[in-house]
Amino acid sequence: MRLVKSGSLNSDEGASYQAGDFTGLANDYSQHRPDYCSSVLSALLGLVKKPAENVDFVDIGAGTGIWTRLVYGKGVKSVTAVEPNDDMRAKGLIDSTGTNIRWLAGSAEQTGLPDACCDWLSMASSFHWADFGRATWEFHRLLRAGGRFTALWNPRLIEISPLLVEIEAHLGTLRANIKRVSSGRSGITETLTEQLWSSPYFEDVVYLEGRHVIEMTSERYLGAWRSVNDIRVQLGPKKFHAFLTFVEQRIAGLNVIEATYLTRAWSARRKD
Amino acid sequence: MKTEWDYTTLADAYLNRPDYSDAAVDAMLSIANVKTGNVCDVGAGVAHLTLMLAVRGFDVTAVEPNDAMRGNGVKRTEKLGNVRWHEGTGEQTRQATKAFDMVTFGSSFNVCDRQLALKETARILKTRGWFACMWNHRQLVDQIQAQIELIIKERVSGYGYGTRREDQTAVIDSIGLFGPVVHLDSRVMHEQTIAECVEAWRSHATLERQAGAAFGSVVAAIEEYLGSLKTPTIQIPYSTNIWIAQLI
Repeated sequence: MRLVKSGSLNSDEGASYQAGDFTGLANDYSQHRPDYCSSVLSALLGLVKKPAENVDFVDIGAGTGIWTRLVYGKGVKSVTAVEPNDDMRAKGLIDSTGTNIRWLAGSAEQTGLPDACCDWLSMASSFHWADFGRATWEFHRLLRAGGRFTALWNPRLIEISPLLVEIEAHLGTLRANIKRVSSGRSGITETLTEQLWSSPYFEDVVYLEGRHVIEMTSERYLGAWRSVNDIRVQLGPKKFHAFLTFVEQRIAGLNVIEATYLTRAWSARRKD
Repeated sequence: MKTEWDYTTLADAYLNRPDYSDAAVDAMLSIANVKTGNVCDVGAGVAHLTLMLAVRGFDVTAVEPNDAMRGNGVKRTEKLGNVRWHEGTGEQTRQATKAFDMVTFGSSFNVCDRQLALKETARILKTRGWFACMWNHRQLVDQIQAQIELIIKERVSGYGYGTRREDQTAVIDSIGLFGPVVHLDSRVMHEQTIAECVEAWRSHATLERQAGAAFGSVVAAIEEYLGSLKTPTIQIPYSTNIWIAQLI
């Protein structure tokens, strides 16, 4: 199953990749993508007005389960991960060995899950791929009364690190007007509060944000760049390779790269 | 107790100020993961936040420098057994060292020397205790609120909300005593009669400070505009903005 957004960001060289097709990225995703701010996770779980051990949790667009397993670690009653991409889901299943996380094929608009099956439902770094109207209708159907939907992202705060600013700027020299569709600091996140308040399915919208610093080895830092799907698509394989080479040279000799991430989360209560 | 900004004449009008968003306060407490314990509410005023904390079961020490404000606060909380009032400020709370699980500033952090207030907070917090500050921001995109902003800006040049609308992350980070800052916000609707709304503007300390001698005429212009709406009540959208951080 492929999750493909219409109006994909094709470039001549990148035509073999579709934006939103995450096939082939699973290993880099699983190993190198940063996790999320733990304070924000605690707050989000706290907003679900039930003790954690009574919370049935569903994570949609779960990818390889980075966020899914963070929530699992909080001791919730059950965890179901829904992911459309076979490759990502297979990796997620392997990475979740030793847990009782249930992995299912499905999309945000059609999860395949029964009515009133969960107290908390999330989409981590994936809600920008969903059709807002159909997905929120589906989430309303899945959530029990008083349950909450959370959309969250973890964009980098590059502006506080000169090295990271320089690397980001290099992208612009490889392709003018490069777009960062999944950055979590543009696009849907600019209007999400308003959209959720206006939704017939949700109310009581709370926005949360928190920073966390990840110290990455140069290997992990490169891996994180390799997993950024929208850049790979926009640059195409050759320029993407050239970009990774640039990053590799630029960070040569550094033991550790400090990257600050900003977890940005929206939590909304299901309307009765 | 004398402070730089005197709230004596505003104490009654403050009773009509909007409460903070329940969802935002609950989220704040979830982050701190405190369900019971001692909270010091600094600049407690007429007890808006104090009451919200007290009804959630905390033992609240309310610190307020202004006698008139504190007098109203005491009255509003007199039926509660878990609130105690003290005279003090954000810089000098006069509270014991390592006494509190959480220290909160409801619409008061901006009138403190923020660096000193953070140091004082660190002193009175228990190990790994939590600091939080919050404000209700009127949503200026709302049609009625936008018109009121226009009325003010026509009469008070350079009018602004100063530090109370700023991101507090940098100042909290700069002191080096607290862990990563979490910011959260949520909306709350506040219904007011036109008379209450005018009274709220009469109690608007930020506007009073900046308008100076023009304060009376600005409030009169707002009153005239609100009267022209020909409605008994209006809905005012606010967002409660909270910054929270844990003592390292």
